[in-house]
Amino acid sequence: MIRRGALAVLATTMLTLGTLGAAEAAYPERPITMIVPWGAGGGTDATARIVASELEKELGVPVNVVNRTGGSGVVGHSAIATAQPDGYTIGIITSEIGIMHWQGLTELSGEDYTPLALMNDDPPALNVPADAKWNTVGELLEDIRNSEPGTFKASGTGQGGIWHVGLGGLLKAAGIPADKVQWIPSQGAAAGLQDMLSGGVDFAPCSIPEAKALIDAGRVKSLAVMADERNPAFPDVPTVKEAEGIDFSVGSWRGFAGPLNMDQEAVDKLVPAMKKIYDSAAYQDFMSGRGFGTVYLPPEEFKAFMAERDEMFGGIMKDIGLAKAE
Amino acid sequence: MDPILQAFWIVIDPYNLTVMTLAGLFGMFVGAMPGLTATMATALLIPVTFFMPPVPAVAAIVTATAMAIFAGDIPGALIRIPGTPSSAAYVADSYKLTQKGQAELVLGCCLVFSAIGGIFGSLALAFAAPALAEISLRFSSFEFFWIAIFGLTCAIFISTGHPIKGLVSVLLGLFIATVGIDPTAGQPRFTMGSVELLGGIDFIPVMIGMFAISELLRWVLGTRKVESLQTKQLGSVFRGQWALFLKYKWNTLRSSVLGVMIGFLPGAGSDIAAWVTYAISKKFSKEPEKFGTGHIEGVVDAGAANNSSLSGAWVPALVFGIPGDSITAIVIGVLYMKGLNPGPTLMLDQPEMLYAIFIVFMIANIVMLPLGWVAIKTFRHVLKVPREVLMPLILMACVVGSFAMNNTLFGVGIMLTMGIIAYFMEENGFPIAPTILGLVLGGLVENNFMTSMMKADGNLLAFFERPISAVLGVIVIAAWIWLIWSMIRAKPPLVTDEEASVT
Amino acid sequence: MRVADWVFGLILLIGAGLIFQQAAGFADMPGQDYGPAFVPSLIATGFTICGLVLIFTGIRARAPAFGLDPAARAPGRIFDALLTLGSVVFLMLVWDVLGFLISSTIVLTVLSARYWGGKIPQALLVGVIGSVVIDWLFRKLLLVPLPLGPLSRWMW
Repeated sequence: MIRRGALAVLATTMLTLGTLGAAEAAYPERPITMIVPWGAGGGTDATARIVASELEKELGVPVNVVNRTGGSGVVGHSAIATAQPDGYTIGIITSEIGIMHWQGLTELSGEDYTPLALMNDDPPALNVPADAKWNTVGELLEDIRNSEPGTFKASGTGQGGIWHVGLGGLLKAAGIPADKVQWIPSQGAAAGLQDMLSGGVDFAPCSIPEAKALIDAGRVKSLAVMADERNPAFPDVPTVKEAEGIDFSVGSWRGFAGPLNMDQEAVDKLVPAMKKIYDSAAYQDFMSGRGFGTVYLPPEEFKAFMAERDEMFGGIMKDIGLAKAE
Repeated sequence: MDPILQAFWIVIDPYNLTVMTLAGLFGMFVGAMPGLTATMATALLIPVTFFMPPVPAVAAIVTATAMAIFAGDIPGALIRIPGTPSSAAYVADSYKLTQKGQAELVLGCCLVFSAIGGIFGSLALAFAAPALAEISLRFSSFEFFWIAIFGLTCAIFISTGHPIKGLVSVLLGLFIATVGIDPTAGQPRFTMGSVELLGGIDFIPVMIGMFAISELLRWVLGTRKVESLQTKQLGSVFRGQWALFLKYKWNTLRSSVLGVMIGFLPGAGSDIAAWVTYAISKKFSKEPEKFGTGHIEGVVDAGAANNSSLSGAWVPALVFGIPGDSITAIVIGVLYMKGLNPGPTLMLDQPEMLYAIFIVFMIANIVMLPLGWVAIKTFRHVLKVPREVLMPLILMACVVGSFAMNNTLFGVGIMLTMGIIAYFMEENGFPIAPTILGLVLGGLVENNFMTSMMKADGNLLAFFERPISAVLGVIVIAAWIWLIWSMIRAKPPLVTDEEASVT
Repeated sequence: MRVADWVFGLILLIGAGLIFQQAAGFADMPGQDYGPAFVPSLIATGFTICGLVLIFTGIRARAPAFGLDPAARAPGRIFDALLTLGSVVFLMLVWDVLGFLISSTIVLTVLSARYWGGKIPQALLVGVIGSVVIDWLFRKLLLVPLPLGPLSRWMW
């Protein structure tokens, strides 16, 4: 007991010393933690790791990538939002932050972060088996329009995942009830594509890089992409606007942020560093190598972007019957 | 130049061989640490592979994972704490063999049969990849449901003691698997408002708690007498392995084949391969009553299967970019990063790279033998460390391992809770292995059932409408009928003599 | 520690009841026959059946509710068990405040001193060396973000 008491005193002294020291030194003076709400090896993890390694060079301190997975991203996103806003914990946040709170899984939204930079946005494509009867997105949408609700089934992510909401948005924009296609939840795009090829579902909306291997193998064809522009790696796949005149674009985005009210000195250091990393050859080469789309938005615009997507997702999710919160 | 020859030159490059050796040592360490899995070894290698040419990058991962799966057997055999989930199936046998003074024999067996299984898997990968990948694309949720149910059936085979207590154990695992966000409807279940529980309960801290913490408690509360047998030197690592191979050659072949098959099915990895082959081994053994008491047969089977499934998982990953398990899910990212885009174009554009990967698999499994020998000789000394010192260190390693899984103390709390529960279970004749199996398979069973029912609009007969699914269904149901029939005929007493004598 | 089967049976029945009660509150999936409550209810049904069997056979076996193994009755054994479990709780409490190195040194030293029968200098050696090695292996080699606590000012 005595030993523990003595240690507590020692610890307090050390902590006080530490805090006093921190007030004098310039940011950053110790390692930075970067939280990733998704598993190691995925696209988000890879993006975070390349940015972290560049950030190390920019700031001169180690940037440790920490995966905090689970709960459809809730766990990691909460960990970023509730971290100390001292600038030593930042994280990569993803489009799910505009979805989860509508499902009633968390209270968190894009408002709860200090935005640093939006760095990536990937639009979904409508993928069907190569031997499917549909050759254009128009034919597919026409069949859906004329079908009984639930006849057509699609997969590509979990219930309320970004591709699920994206598909609902496309149907809505095409004037079809957003819940007419039944969503079969899957553990990610690969599992959804697998299910489609084994005959479990009819089509799979997911980003083109996720379906690339199967497209190359001649098993899958992409009908259209829900973006403003075509993917340079797949110039033959039209946008939904070109194909059907439906002005709809959506995407799975990734950006960097810290907890709300983050230390201003840290923000002033991190924002230009992020911009510099975005412009670097290392980042651009890496992203194009994986087929990921690159977009940059500075903090204020990133914040507005999140709010805009948030509102759009909320509307779609009410139509699909997924929104629990108002 | 011939692409195979070209591939060979790429592989035997000294830089590549150095990378493989270092990765092997790294995998050995990760696998031997409770809580650090082969998947984690892969994830940890990613930042390092950033700076390597493609083949060494892939070689590092292949070698590290193969070694980690074998090394997981080491702490399992020495201190009854499986290093990775893939070793959990036969830890009871391997630990009891160590207690009988046969640490070298059992670890040598794990090593040799891991290598054999791995080499078999590599051959399957090299010669049958396109055909096997074709089969994997025919599996949808209906087929996976039956596979998962079959896995659960194995829990009944592997559990020792009374079936009701085994059933409670499986159900506990299944229940733990339901905690968190329900994957089909997005409904939070049993989370009590906690964000951490929303993320679900990972089975790594559960496994560490149930095997290690319960063992610690048993030691602390036990007589703590020194088991002198353990430190006795008994023969060399490789002696006796040839005899084992001759005795169990059909077991080895059967389990290696099964391992590859389970491996290439998306979503099922080396852990499930080990459980299933162990259960099948017990069912078809001439001496099933010896399983769980320190019998080598199950170790041979499951040891070969978990390594052969590793290569199996690469089949759909290389051919279609669909991960066969959690390791290849990470690997696909690395392949893209290195410009080795999975798919048939890899074969057309860069055949030498594909051959190089196959050769790497072979070499990794051969290199495993000398490296494993060194590891066994090194780790064997753990037994000489006084338990008074070893036990606190194990506790600390377990805490850190549980923390590392998701970098949160929540894992440590889970470990502690499950450790206490497991202690009471084991003391009272409830087997703990079925809980782990239930937890591993729970999500698989539920997800595939629910999504199948969504596709079929609630029609249960849909499980028999697709040809593969129907065949699997009939096999599973036949197994159940047979099981229930033999249970009715056998009727073991609920309270064993040993239990009754203590109370 | 021995616990009679009927006690386990009772615990299972209570657990099953709680699961049923929670599952009743889960939302149905619109248009689906099986919802998020389906599998938990199946599990709870299983628990109920097993619980009843255990109560029935347990009462027939006439075992006392709780019993302690002879070895565990030795003096200090229960204290040791609580100390072992308590040290994990202690680690969780001070993890971020003291950091891993310091809290691990304390726990390792205390536990090995206690198990070893009070050889404090040796135990301290185990504590310090063990903690430094574990910290180096996990934090430096495996990049596990073990907290440094107050030490983060001086070393990373």
